[in-house]
Amino acid sequence: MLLNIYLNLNGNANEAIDFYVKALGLEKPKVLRFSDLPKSPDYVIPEDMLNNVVHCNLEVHNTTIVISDSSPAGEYQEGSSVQLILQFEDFNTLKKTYDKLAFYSDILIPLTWNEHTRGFAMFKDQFGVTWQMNL
Amino acid sequence: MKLHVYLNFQGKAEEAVLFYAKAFGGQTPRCLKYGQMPANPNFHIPEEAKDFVLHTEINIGKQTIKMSDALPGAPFVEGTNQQVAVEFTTEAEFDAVYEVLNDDIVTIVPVGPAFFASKYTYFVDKFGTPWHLMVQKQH
Repeated sequence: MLLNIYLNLNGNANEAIDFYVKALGLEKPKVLRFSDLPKSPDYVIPEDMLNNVVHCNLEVHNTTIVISDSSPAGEYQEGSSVQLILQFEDFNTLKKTYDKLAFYSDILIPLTWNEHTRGFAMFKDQFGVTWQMNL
Repeated sequence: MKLHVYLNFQGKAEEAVLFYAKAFGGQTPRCLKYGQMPANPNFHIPEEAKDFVLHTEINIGKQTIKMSDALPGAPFVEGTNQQVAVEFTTEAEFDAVYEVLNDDIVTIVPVGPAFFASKYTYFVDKFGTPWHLMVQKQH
């Protein structure tokens, strides 16, 4: 049984993929775009959506984040019920990743370390995804 | 570095985690409640939230879903932008999990074959968690 995370974006999946690859130091993934799909008269993709992402697997240390843009007919609502947690084994890696990943974010809880926590942060990034980091 | 899924609930995290444990098997999860936290004058826990879940988790295969309740008044929005997906190797595994989760769900894609999976469904469960369940195609 494999647990994956689906992120559904609103036309900026290409940008999100590039950003996450850099921030998390990932391998460059394969990206399937609407323009790669076989043409069908029943399902016409608007010209300005052809470059949007249908499917992309980002491999983040044994868990896959599947990224796509909303389909032309799909609705899009940013939610807070599903979030992602990155768990680190050393503070330096946490801090380095935080500096990159949270750079354009709304910081919900700034990176803190004290007698109760060895390192914790929570933020919503520029793509509407809420992340927690801890040590 | 490890990546986990985190699910947020509004006072129903305990019910949800017990329900998910029934669906996915494994040990009965333990819930740490807000009321069990060390008292902190800077962090007031409202009386009605003392029995809310601060932290609980279940394992799915080798991975973990962590869960908690949002504090009353904290922003909570059910969205369409993030979902949880579980890939099974056999249809029997898929069926066993779906049979439990299929309780007062809102079906978005009914169970059936898809081009990427031999069996697939997409639904929102009674706690508001969006799930994709699928059986990997045999290669």
